[in-house]
Amino acid sequence: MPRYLYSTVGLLLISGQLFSGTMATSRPPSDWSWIGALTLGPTWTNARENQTFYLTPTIEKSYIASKKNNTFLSGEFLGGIQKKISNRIVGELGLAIATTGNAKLQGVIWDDAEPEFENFTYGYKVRQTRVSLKGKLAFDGNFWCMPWVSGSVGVGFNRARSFKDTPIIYEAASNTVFQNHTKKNLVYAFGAGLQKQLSPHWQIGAGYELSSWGRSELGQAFAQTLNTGLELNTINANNILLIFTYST
Amino acid sequence: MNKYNTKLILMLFFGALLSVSVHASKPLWLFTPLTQTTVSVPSSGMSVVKYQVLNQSKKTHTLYLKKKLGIEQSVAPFNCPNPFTLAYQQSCILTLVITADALIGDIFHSPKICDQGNPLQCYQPSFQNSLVVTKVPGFLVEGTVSGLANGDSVTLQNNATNTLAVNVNGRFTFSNTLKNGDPYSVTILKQPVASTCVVTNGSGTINGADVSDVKVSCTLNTTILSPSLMDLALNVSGATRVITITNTGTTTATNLTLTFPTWPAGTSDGTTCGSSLSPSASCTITVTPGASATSSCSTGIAPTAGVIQITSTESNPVSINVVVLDYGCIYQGGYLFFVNDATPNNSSISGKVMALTDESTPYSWGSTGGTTAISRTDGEANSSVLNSPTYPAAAACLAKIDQSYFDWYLPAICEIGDGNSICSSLSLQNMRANLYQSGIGGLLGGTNRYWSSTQKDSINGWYQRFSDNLQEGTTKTIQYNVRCARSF
Repeated sequence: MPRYLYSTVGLLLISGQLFSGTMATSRPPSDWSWIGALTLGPTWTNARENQTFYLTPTIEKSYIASKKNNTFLSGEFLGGIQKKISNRIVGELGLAIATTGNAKLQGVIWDDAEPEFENFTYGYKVRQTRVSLKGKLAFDGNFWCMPWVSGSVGVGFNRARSFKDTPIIYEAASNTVFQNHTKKNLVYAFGAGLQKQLSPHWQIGAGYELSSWGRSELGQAFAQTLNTGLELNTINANNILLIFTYST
Repeated sequence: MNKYNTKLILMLFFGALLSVSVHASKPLWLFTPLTQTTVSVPSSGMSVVKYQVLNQSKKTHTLYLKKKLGIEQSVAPFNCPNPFTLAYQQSCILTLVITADALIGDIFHSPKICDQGNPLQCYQPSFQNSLVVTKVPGFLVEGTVSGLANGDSVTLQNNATNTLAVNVNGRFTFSNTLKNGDPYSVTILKQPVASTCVVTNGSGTINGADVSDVKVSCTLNTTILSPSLMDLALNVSGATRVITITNTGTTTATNLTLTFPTWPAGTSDGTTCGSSLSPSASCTITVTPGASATSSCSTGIAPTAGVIQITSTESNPVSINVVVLDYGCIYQGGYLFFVNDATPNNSSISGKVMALTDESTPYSWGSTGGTTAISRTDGEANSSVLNSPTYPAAAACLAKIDQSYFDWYLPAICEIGDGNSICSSLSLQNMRANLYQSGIGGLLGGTNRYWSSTQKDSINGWYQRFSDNLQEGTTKTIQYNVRCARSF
């Protein structure tokens, strides 16, 4: 993932060089103003959990997750206010609505929870949509850009879907599959980065954010009588942010 | 890095390798076909397919056949019940009865067996062993194979075109169907390695129904050494005789070995047998008798037969008993006094023997009156005429059961001696010359007289007095000794 970080920081530095001759003197107003911010960027997660459980009183299976990072695009829109809290600190507070691409989770299935019966592969997708209250503090040190930190808390909806298992050997007949399911969670995120005032109304920023999605869960398969579908108890996502902010 | 760390790293490395190696793919329960699994079933027909189902999991599973129209599970004895529970490494025979009438289209990729019938855990045979059922119009030619050895196979052919390799005993079905009135002819295209198969009920004409009674019976290949004689009797200084050994089995006899006994002086042998004998092939053994009888039996004892032993790697040993006989030997229930050495040389001699003892009481020849028992050389013919209580001497011999023989007769006058001119002119081998003169047989001398079965006239019968070889006729009603004889 470092390449995303490098390319985003590089973009921010280039934009700083381009705009520094004409707009570097602009500063956030001392009174409050409305702001709208659009954030885009790549997200990755290495969430995985091995699970062994009974689907019926006699059918037990192990789901062994593969060790593979997932990368996908995420986007967020924030609407709120911006206010200069002190000579050096600018604060932002707003309501953010975000959505992500699909984290693709996969692995192998051991029938009877025994590795000698590794007879299926599986895969499914998880994506999140969330609404959160987000705050941000930026430090104005009269540099060419301002460092910032952010935090948010809200409600996230993790949609687990499109579970599919594929036999590895011909003898293993296809099974009924776990159903799609949406899980509601308390979600939160912490971020940090740099931003640059391009004009009296526009800012551009870049940063990194660590977000916790909470849990995801697939629904029961047809004829399953015990437990639910596959679960992930913790999904932590890493986000590289490219932020475009408009203030009144 | 110290020694301890090196060991630890090596252990972790090989431990990791081991943990990777146990990951594998194999079915929880394994299907092994016991019959053909690709079958053609005529529209109104049925077929049976069998699998052995083995639980390879350490967990016990209770299994159900996934239902499919036209495929029923047979729960007859020795088959898997429904459902069937298998512990680790337990198996049973899953028998599927396919009824074409009930099938909806053809069947592929069956059968599926599920834990508790639950679709969350089902397994099926491998692609090669999948049940493939094709409904076909017309009539089938089917039958059974039996006697096939494990791992062997026989290739059958119907009408010289439809070939079928069968590798297990049980039902077989030719894939091609025939129309009503078509001929069918099942033949063996390729015999098994370890056995030989024959077809019965293998040909005919389709007559409005499947043909289901073709039988292919296989028998393990064998080597059977069959001698033409199990017992051979020869005459001293007589004809050379031949025993033929034939391999009547289906495989070659190897390491063929003949072991000859210690022959009596002068007797020799020869053979054409080599070290092996092919199926249906023969070889011979010849025995040429010398002047001495076996175990000096001519002194009035039974010979101890010499034994020719024949062995091969593949067959059980075969024994042939050989005796060289002379007058006086006890053979076939009595003392040998007459030898016919002119029998075919692939058989034993024939001859006549005298009973070991006199009858316990004297008998009269019979009442006065003419009979046709007038042969001087054929006592057997005379006795058959005299088979009545009216002729006590002959009747006593005819009723005699001795040494397990019951074909005794009263000998004719020239079989007993040659004292009169008629007998002496015939030079017939007789009891007096060949036994009495040698002191063999316990015949009474002196004035004792023995009845013959030869009638002299309506009043008199011929008798023999051994002491002086007197042969004369006298009144039939007088009681004389009786010594029976038999021929072999």
